[in-house]
Amino acid sequence: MRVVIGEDHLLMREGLVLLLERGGFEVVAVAGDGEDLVRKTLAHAPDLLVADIRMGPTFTDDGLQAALAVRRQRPEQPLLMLSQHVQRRYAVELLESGERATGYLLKQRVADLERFFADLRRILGGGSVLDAEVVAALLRRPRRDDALSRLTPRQREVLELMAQGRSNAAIAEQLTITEKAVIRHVSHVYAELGLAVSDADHRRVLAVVAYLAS
Amino acid sequence: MDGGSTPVRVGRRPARRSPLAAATLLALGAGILLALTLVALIADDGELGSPGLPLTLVAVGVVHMAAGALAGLRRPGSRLGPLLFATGLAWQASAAGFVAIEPLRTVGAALALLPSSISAHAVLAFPSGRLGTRESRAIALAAYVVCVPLNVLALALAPDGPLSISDRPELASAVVWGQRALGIVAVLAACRLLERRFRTAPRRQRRLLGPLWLYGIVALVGVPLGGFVARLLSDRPGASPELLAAQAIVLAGVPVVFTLAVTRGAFARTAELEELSAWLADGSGRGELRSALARTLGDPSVELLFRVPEGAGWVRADGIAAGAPMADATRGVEAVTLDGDVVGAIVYDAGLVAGPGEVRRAARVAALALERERLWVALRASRARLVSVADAERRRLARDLHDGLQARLVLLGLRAGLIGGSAAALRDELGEIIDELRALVSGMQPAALTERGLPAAVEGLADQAPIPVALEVDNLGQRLSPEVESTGYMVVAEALANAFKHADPTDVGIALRRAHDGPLRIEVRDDGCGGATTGHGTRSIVDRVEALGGRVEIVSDPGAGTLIRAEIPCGS
Repeated sequence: MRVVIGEDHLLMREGLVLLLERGGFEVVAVAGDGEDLVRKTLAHAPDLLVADIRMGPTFTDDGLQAALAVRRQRPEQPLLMLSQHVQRRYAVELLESGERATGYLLKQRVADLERFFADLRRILGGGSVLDAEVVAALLRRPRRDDALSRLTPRQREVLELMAQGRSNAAIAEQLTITEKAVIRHVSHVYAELGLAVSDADHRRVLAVVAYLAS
Repeated sequence: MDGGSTPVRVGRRPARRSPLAAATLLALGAGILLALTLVALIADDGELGSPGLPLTLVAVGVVHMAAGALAGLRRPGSRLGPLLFATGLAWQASAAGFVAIEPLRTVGAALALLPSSISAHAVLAFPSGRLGTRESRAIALAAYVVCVPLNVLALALAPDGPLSISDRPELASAVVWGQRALGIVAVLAACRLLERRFRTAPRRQRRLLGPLWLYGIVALVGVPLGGFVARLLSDRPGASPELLAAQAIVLAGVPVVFTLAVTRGAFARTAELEELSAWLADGSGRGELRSALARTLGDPSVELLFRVPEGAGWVRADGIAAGAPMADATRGVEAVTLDGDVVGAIVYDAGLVAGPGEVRRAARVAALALERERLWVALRASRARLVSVADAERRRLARDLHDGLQARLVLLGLRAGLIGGSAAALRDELGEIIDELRALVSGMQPAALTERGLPAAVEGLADQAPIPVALEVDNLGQRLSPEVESTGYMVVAEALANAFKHADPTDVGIALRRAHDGPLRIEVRDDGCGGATTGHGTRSIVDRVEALGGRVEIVSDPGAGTLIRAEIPCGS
């Protein structure tokens, strides 16, 4: 698996290289600013792009802008954005920019190697992964409709895990319930929120997040 | 902000009936009564020939008194009014020489020439009413000596008349020649002085005051010269009544012209010092002190400078540093002191303002107001410095934490993760520390503000609100300066925090707008219980916004919700 890394912090960049090589990735290029990142990603067409959101040249959201620029040319490009904080706006922009395989995590999540590699595999498999922090913030948002308040606590848990990009099997395992029970909860959530049913992981995350962010 | 364009109404406010005005009117009334009495006495007396001359003298006196009263009312700061009034009394006194009552006649004869000398005094003292230099004082003194003591002496030595004490024609003739010689010297010196004043006056002043001085010279020279020529041509001793009447009428023009100048010419904008005091006592409006002084002094170019502590020297009203004020040929400088300390300075057009005395009096009246304004200017400058230093420091700290400590901790967590096994607990604890640090940094400077600017950061605030908040953003596609962004963010954060803490609103709205290149306008409104007091939070909003030269308006009537409006200039 070939990966391009976008990270301007030198030690962090080395740490990521080490980590991804441990995970069996081949790091084909590293970039220190947004423009460099777009160029190298388009040139190498890697299996995965891993990038920090804040980097040069303006030290605002250059990494995110670079990812969105890549996506405009290649919507199927799998990518994982890392940041020291998360924003719902970025989550929506990232999910909407591609057809599949979109990840957005707090940078500190890399420390839990096992879980991090599992997330990477889901992205490589076309699924999407959203940090629990973003999803929690989305669920905390005040809403004008009360559809969420009509959900049972269990249904809310399921919704939260759906938004994080977990598959039904993964949700069943996490909540220690049967996959059949998960499917029942999921269809209830869909009905309650009026969402279009979709089997594709990415589309499911996008639909849930778009609803929560609206 | 448009501080400079505020209309000033000081000059148009009707004058209050002050003790000075009452005294002036009383004096004028008494003077007119005196004149009427004289007229009655003169008309009653048929023996002394034609009443034409004495009645002319009385009339000229009344003209002087009226002009003096008007000048005194219009310009209480100038002594010109009292001087002209005194000249009027002198004319009445000279008219008394023509009544049948003996003591009055004696006094009238002794003071017969006083009007000429006091007129010369007024011409030399125009426009302030003061004889500024030693030279002008000497000339005026000479004029008085010629017209009163020497005249009395000449009359005393005359063969007859009310004052005659001994008939010494040769001595009398010597006194008269001495009187003439000294008179001519005084007149020539006065002409030279006026001519020099006219030449050295700034152009603006020359144009305005030139005709007056010219008239003064004509009157000064013409009156004694006319008498001299008439005496040479005539074989009668003493001047003819016609000539004396003509001279009196020429001199009567002096107060009329002077008063016209005082009320219509260079000093048309003049407001009384008393009005300045009244305006200051009102405490109305700040920043209009300069305009008020400009009106009082009749000089639209007046500038105010404030002395600020901390070695900063002098600043202008807008807080910008200025050099120490220096007087030169055209600009005068008057230091304003309060309790012995120099608090500011008034810089004025030395040509337009009558003299430093007038500015000094205005400075005394305005000192307290200037001190208040000075403290305000100094406070604003230091508050702006403090706020912007603190804000810049906070942004720098947030950036350092993000790039430094936060990144290092993430890396440390990664290392712990790479070790695995027993380091897992360490890794998880590091994760918690990173969460705390993230919350801390976000509180100092939200990442959304740094990365995406004000609308994104305000959106984050709305997301954290307990009820849905309507957010309207207009024309904020371009990033603003970091100071404006973080100040704007704090305004919204503080307003929302206050609303949810105290007002229990059901509807809250935020609007961020910016007209093309205009200031950032922020509006936060809620339908809560209103009555927001200016607490610590509100105070800090106002401080920050004002530090950037903006302003905040809070409308919060009890029961009617709260509207906070802030306008922050965005520079260029």
